[in-house]
Amino acid sequence: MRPSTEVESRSSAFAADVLRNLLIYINQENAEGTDTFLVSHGWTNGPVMYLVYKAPPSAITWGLVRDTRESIIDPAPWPSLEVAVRYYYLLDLCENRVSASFPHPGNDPDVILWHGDQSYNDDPCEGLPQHSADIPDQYLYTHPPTSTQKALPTKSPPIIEPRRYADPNEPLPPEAHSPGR
Amino acid sequence: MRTRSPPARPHSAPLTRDIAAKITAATAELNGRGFSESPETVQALDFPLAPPPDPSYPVDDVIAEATDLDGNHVLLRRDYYDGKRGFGWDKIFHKHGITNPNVFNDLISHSRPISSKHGELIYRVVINRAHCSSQLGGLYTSCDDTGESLEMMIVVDTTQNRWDVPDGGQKGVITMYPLPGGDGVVEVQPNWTMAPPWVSNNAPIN
Repeated sequence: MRPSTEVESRSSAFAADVLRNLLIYINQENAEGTDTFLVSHGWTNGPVMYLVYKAPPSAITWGLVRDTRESIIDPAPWPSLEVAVRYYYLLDLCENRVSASFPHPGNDPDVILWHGDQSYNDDPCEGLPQHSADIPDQYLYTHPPTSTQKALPTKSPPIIEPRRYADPNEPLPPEAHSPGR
Repeated sequence: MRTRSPPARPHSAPLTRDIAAKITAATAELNGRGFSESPETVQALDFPLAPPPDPSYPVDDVIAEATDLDGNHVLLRRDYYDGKRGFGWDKIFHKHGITNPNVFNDLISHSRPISSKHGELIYRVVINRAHCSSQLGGLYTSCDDTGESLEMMIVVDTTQNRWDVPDGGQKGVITMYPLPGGDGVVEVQPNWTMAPPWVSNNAPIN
């Protein structure tokens, strides 16, 4: 196998691994009852991963497209599959959630809003399906029935007292403080 | 803690002008007020900041550090943000409008992670805005919640001895942002929240 072909093959395999493990990660997190993501389609094309999903309570259909050869944190390849999966989930999915009231920018809830390496805002997303119905059935993702029903060993989240912030120009109580003092 | 480098020079803007204008408008009230201890060496830099591969950019500088209630020590490094990619202080500042690193100190030091897996810590902390006033001619001060509230999410990577951090320490804070739907939280566009100015301007009272 020629070197360039080997690299392409490795990149494609990595993308497939990322997608497969990301879907598992999403199911695990969904089962733990944190942020819920409902994936409808997922596929790879060479090193590029595509994920179509909804993030309730928003009704918007999102599309994530990522070239998995490069980290979304550092200008370098991902250090490991595990780290790649973790940060696609935490940054691309969780950090990018919108509220239920956020309107679809195109006022057409059926149009997929792509983000990641291609954005509906920056370019016409050429080559990307605009509706879920445009995606071949072979990319349809069905949630494994056992993952959401299996009782996972979850522990209660810690009870954390809310922080209270007040205008420092107002008279503040003696216990008001600044971190580091 | 490493010595802080002076703010690096700004570089060209990859973001569109209208988005930069939105950020400017959303953070216009930030100057001049804040936690009672002003971070003198951590200044607001021109937008946007230089991303790597500029070798002179002080990505690994430690801006702040704090220890949570479980004893986890967390670093906030400067890192970088180029409008699409990045992490750390520069991303928190420029993408999410949190302009005072003392917010990081306060939230970490008064909370514990809701999740801890493979060196990755996740915190979710509620911040309630309060209004304080003098009572009985200044005899004491009373503070009441205004009803404004938001929740901050913090993602931290505490893995040590990694190849991508020259000093061998942890990468630290990856991101810190307000969850959508919180009072005053601006959803600039899909996938982009900014904290209201009072989060950075106000002082913790508990």
